[in-house]
Amino acid sequence: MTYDVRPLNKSFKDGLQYVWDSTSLKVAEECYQKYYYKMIEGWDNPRKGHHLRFGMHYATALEHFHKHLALGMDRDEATEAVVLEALIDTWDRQGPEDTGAPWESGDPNKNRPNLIRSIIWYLDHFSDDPVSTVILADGKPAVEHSFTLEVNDGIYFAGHLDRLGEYSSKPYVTDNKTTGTTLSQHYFNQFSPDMQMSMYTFAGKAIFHIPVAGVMIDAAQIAVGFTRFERGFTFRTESQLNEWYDDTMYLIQDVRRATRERHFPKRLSACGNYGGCEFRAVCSRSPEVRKNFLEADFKQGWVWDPLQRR
Amino acid sequence: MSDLTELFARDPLQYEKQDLQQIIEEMRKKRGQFVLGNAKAGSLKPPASEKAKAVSSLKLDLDL
Repeated sequence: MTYDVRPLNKSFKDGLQYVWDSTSLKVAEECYQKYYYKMIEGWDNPRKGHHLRFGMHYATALEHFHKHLALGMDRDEATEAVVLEALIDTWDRQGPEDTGAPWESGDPNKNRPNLIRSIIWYLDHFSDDPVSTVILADGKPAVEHSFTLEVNDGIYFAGHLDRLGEYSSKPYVTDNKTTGTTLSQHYFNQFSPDMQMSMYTFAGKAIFHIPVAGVMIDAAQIAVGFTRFERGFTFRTESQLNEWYDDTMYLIQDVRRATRERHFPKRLSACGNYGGCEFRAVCSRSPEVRKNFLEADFKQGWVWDPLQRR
Repeated sequence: MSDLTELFARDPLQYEKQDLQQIIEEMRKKRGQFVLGNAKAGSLKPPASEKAKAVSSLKLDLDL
């Protein structure tokens, strides 16, 4: 028996998700009902899309910067290359004939000028960075690595590692985060335990066959008048990763069972997380009218697909 | 010499090399001001005083 899944998502086979990335795992971990709305029915909140877009352009610019440097470009040239790339990628055209217009995010913080500012300020802030890009055995820099990894009997992990960096003789997966909140130890505490950081460490070890110690997180606080940076680390021991793997496999099998049974219980304790779940207003309605509220506030179209390459 | 707002409003595929360098340079100057303690240095909005100056320079006599 197969189930009604939006047709474009290649991470599903026979109606069940078999390719998992940290985003879809995190959604499932938060709430099965949210997983149903987002991953199976493909409902997306258009008002939140700009956070994703800002973060992707920002991470891409920094990732490409390190790639240019590792391939021999000088700092100034590499800066100009990634700034121009970000400016072009945020110049929106509707078609080849369209002259285009700058991306308007509608957000006073995460917008196009602040994206460019954040890229340039980051590169200056970390201009004397002691972290070097790991060079792999084949001579290539360990940057921009999308992976699909079979882990267990037809289940795959997928994702994208920005870069492997070496700091104090230890290799780390590096990750860039953007946030509106003040950067403090409290901010970095959220990454342990954390699905994404465990997945990155696990994948870094499995793909590159080197003893990745954890993830080095360069966080950027984006405000109207400034971008501030802090670096934090999150570590994973071998036994922590083994425990995470077992827990994750259990979660995946349970979500697949829930999908087969078409029963997606709400996890009520998660409704208030991070300022409130985006579907809270929908779930608070009576089941027979929820679809109307979904259609009013969400768009059903593009679905997050772990197999989609950046 | 264009200002940043004007540069951001232009198609980046039409940029000259110096346009790009000017954006980077201006942003670096703003960072320098931020490092010195100006927490609004990175804003691309003109300060209120400049806005007021610009409005008064229009010398509008709307006579509504």
